[in-house]
Amino acid sequence: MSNVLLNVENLNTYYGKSHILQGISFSLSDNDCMAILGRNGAGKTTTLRSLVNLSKPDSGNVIFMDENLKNIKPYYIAEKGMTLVPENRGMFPSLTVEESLSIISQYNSNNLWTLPKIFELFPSLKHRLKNKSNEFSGGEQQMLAISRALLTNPKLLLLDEPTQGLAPNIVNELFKALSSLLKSGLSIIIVEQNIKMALNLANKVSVIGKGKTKWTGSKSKFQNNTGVQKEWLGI
Amino acid sequence: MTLFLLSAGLTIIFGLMKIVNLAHGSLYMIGAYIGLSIWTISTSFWLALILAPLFTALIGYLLYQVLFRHIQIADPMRQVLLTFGLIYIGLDSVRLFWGTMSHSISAPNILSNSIIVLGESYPSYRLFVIFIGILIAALLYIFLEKTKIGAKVRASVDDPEMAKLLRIDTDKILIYMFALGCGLAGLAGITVAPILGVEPGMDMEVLVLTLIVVVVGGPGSLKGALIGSLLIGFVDSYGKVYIPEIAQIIIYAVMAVTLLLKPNGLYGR
Ligand SMILES: Nc1ncnc2c1ncn2[C@@H]1O[C@H](COP(=O)(O)OP(=O)(O)O)[C@@H](O)[C@H]1O
Ligand SMILES: [Mg+2]
Repeated sequence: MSNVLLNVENLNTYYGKSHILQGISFSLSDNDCMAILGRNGAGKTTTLRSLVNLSKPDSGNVIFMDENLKNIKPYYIAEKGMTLVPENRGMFPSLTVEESLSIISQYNSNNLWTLPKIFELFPSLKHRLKNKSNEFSGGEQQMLAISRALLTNPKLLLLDEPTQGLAPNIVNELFKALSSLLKSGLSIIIVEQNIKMALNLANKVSVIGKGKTKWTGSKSKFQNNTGVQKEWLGI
Repeated sequence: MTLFLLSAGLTIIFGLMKIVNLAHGSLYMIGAYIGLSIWTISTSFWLALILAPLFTALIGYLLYQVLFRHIQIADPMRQVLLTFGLIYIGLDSVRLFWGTMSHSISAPNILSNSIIVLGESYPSYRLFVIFIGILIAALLYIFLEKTKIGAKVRASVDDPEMAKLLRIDTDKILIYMFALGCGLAGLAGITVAPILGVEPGMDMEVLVLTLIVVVVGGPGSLKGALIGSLLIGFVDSYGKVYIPEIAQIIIYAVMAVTLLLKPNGLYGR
């Protein structure tokens, strides 16, 4: 058995008075890649936001690397090794690409991720350092967003619909980059509408419906469970 | 130019925190009074010029720790009530410590004469104030646009949540930028003191003008604060000289026209 990296127990999250997450639970081991699937509005984005305390859960626990993250600020969670690439990609319109990459503090010299390694992963960024990121295409924005996240040297990367709105060849390029990240030992939670791509990356699947975890298991079990696929994803 | 120092501070705070600090004028007044005391004790205007902004920044820091950190997420009505309440506290503190009389500070000797520029005579202290304004504008520009910390500040304005996810301590940035904004208000207070004097009520006079500048320039935009303060300052001074009867109205008219053409202000997003 490999080490448990993340343990999520019965999360409940509200937006104002509406009870959005009503019981999310799953766990993740080192170097796992979990695909979180579910219909639009099921609560996938809210789940990812709750993991890093951008939306504060009202009850339940997130245990990351043996530490309970209750009341821990997102900034410290990122420092500890879990960060999110949000659905909107979180570009900084007033910063150039170079600035966007340079503002992430690199404390220690044994950091896994450095700029040269980032350019190896996404060569096209290298030629656009002086550009402002809001002039970018969706694919370039996604690559920049992932690069920034990697520079924080995460153990666990949360990706919210990274392929949304991207052309098929870009999706392919992204897929290759993410596979190589997994090979390098990173753990990933990916929320995707592109189920085929997500299943190609993942070894675990968690299905969310109406704010609740409906099903969790290995990828092969998921692929054989047409009942779950039909009821909660409509496929 | 003092208008620029004030609106720069206010607009930085607004850009980062989405708080309109109505007590910004009070910090300007308190900066002037602190400068007055330092000048009285030390007889050095230069010492007052340096220390008054630092003390005002310190007051800003404490205000943030005690009050503002809690209202960040609060609704606009509470912000208005709190910062409006601070105006009264500021005014009463000034009356308590310094009395209700008005005071004056004299400019240092080297700046007490006049200088001929383009055939017209200007008091050299006024030119010095303009110089301070330009210097601060340049320093702010370099700090925000050319340094790594400046880039972190801009990132925190653009998307605070994303900045946090990238291990940027946005809370710390907020505190220091809030203090910086307050320090600029204090600097405005002490620089203007030799021209306008120091008296209770000086806070409200500038507050309205500063708010207009920020609205016209585009809240959160430093460039907007610069251009807006030049525009409003120009309209204000020339209006008072040539058409004093309607000078006040003209400023509001300029604001109204700007907002009709550009609802987010000249440099607003
Ligand atoms: N900021 C918000 N305020 C109120 N309700 C929200 C907010 N964001 C999302 N919701 C609601 O929460 C539910 C889950 O949203 P979300 O987590 O974005 O779903 P998903 O990512 O699975 O599409 C939806 O019903 C949505 O309408
Ligand atoms: Mg979503």
